[in-house]
Amino acid sequence: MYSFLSQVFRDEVGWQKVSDFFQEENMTVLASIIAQLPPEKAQLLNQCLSNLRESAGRNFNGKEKEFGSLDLRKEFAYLFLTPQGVYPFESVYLGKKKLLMDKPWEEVRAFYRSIGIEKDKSEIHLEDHIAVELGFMASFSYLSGDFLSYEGEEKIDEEEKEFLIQVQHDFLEQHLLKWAPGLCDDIMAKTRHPFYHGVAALTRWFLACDLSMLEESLTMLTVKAD
Amino acid sequence: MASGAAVAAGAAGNFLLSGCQPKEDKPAVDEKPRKPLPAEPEVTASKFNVCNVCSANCAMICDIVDGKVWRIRGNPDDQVARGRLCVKGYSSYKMLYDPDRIKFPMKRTNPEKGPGVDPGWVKISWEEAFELTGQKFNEAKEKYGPESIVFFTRPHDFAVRLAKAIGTPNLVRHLDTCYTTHEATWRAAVTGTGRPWMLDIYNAKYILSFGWDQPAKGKNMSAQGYIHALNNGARAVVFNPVLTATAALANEWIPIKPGTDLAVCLAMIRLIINEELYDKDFVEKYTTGLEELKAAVQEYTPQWAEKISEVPAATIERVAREFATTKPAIVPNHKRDAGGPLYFNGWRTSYAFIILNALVGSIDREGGVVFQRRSKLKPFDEVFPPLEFPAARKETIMGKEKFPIIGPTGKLGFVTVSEAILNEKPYPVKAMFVRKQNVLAVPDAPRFVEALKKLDFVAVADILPTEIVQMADVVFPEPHFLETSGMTDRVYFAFYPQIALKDPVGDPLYDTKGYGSIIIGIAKAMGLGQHFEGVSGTKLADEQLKALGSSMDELKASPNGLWSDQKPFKPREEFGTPSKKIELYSTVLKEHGYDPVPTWQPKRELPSDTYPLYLIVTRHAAHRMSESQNNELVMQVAPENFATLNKATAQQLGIKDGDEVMVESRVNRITLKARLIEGIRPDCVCVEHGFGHWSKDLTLAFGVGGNEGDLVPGFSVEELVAAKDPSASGYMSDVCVKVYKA
Repeated sequence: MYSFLSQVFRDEVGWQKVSDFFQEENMTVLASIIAQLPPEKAQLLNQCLSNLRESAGRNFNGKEKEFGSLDLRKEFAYLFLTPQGVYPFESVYLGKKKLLMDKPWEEVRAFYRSIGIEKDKSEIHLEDHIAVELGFMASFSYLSGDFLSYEGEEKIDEEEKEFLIQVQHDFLEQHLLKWAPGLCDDIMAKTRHPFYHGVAALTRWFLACDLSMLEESLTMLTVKAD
Repeated sequence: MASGAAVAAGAAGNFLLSGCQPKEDKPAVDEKPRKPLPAEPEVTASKFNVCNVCSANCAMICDIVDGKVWRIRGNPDDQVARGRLCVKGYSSYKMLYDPDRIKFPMKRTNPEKGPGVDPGWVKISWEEAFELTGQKFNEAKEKYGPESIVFFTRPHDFAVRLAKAIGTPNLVRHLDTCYTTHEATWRAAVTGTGRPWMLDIYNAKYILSFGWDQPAKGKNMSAQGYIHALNNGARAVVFNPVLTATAALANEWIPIKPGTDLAVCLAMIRLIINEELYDKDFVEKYTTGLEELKAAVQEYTPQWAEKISEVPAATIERVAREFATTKPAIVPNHKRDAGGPLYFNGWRTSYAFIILNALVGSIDREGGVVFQRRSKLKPFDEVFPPLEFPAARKETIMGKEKFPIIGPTGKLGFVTVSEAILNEKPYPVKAMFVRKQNVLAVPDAPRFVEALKKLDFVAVADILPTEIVQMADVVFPEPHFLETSGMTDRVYFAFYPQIALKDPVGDPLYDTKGYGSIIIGIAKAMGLGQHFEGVSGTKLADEQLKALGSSMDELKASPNGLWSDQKPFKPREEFGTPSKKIELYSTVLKEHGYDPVPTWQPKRELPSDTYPLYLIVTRHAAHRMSESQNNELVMQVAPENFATLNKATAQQLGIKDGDEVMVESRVNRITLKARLIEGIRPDCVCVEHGFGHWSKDLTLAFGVGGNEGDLVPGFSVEELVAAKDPSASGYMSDVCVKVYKA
């Protein structure tokens, strides 16, 4: 999920990529995860997914071709490349001056550094771009064998797993959840396209749900250890 | 006046608050540096760079903390900066981190264009941007001829080569709204080439300003020089309809009637010659034409000038005598002063400035107007010898061929570009390449928007999504200057050759390319890549430095980021005219059918019942034309522009301070807030340039203030030819307006 969302915020996506995301295999895994959530949260997340799927379905199924890929490209540029859309940077959302590379960017970098990682040279976005932050979460959820990133999962010991989950939890709590809900609200308010409305709604709810699940995982790990 | 500087630079922007008047006493100006900010973080690196906000190109030092610019300082060893910068330079890094910047190449999907129209941008790759531009330019070239492609840019070797390779003679430049009056008159009467850029205000003892307002406009070297000179006992007299900060700091402010400075200059020239107060040695040795000039100015008595300018004859006489007998004295000129392209008589006024400076021996002498001692950089064409270019048409849309003095410099076209495109004179224009220019800078900007709509294709290279970007079909994102590398020669203040290093402060924040790479990309896409074989900015800089006995590696290793060839100042003994002397009676002007001496000519528009007020245009010290209104720090200092009126005038018009008012000329009208002061003539309204942005993508600038350029009419080439003005200038303040409550 994080990987998909990161890609959607990073660059234009074609309908094929969206279609791929909704493949049965992915949906089965998602459903099993959602099932672990409290009923009211599960219902909201399911609703978001359903809306997004419906929006996408109208296009890639070719049955109700409401929007072509050009519209999706225009909407991406409008939302993420022009100032009339949103500024997908934590620095702009949480910084006092609404500029890039302000204090929140420093804090994000410090977080990455605290666990010994640096942004890859090939990454063109800044460390606090929403796509990079979601990408960070995708990497760690993959490593901890979480959620969708089940393929290639290696056996890892409980202590390491706890560390990886703790990192995700802390990053969500200290960074993503402090600004991404506001970003998603702005996207929902500004977008003219149901796809990005759906993506924003899904992101908003997914982040909140993930925090609950990470908290639960941490509790379980602690109980086990005891 | 102790408080003048502080008040003038404070809440009232460039204007002195009502009730304050400059005094005769020497102003007490604090030259001490400010106290450092508390709790300075540990600077992890310091990078040398060159400010690119204005053409002064002050050398700067960027202090980096944890990968980010924390502070910018002036390079103390740079002749221009002298360790300080202006507000624009200090705040320039804010644009680097502006989230509104253009992030990727984009193309337009909505064919409709204009204010309020969504371009329907989509992100494209650099390859697609080049291919699309190359394809559209080639289509225009094949269907309508290479001259149908226009370069609307500032000078750049790469762009000039591409234009030549395409075969278009049309490189439109903005200098007819900037300084062609100075350029044409210096070229004709003194240099045979360009104009001097150095004003040695530092060493002047008498500063006689006719609308010269660079200190108030925040020009670093002028502001520092002016303050230094005043503190050193120099006397400053300022003729200006508005009490700007320059006037507030002066010993004397004379609120002259707009566009009549020429009359006062002519009366002063007459007096200085008739009373033989001129520098006889200098005039005899270095000038010609004194007798012809003397005969031509005899009708211009101080009493005659008083009637025109409303400056008392006795004041004209006194100031002329003071000016001629205090050494060194200077009439400074830069760009939009009274001798700039503001009024119909601008070129004549500029010529009068040259004559006044020559009469007191202040041309290329310390304390006067000095020719910059530039580095002898190997020209681009020598480093990269060109292939043969196709023959270009002689006829240009700028009318270069019709202006024998300014035409060969190519420094014109802004004033006439709209009419040329709209009327297809002398032929249709179909495509345009734009860089570092904006709609708001063009006279009658709304008409220029109409002209842009007529074009089939517009490609723009820029940093911010300005108005011209909104009119583009393809956008190429450029890096901020702090992200660029290379070197820059000293020009605006160069007593000796000096070159400054540009070292990027970090990795580029977005998917940008330097201007040279953009030009080469377009050339290759047009099938003209052979003209740029082996060409690169890095190689150019290195070869140029090697020819001077240095290299980029050596410059990078320099402890102060500078290469200097310091040698003693040797005043010029010969000039570039046919007589090799400064011509007070210009044989060059005469040869081309222009008046050989600066005779009187009034400004073009005078107040009428319909438009009773003179329009005065100025710049705020914190703003750089229309480029800085999205800078959050600058906007804290100067958040909007105003219609500044005299309190008495406002009272007659029923206007209160802060009221929304309309300022209307015969071509357009704009809405502004009124600001009421006493330091402006009652028959004037003054507006600062740079505001009135309509691009919604400039978050801070959008919808703030008004663009006074909308009020200024453009001209056709034919109209400028008929004006018999050798500078083909734009008359950017020669317009009258009315002001009323909105």
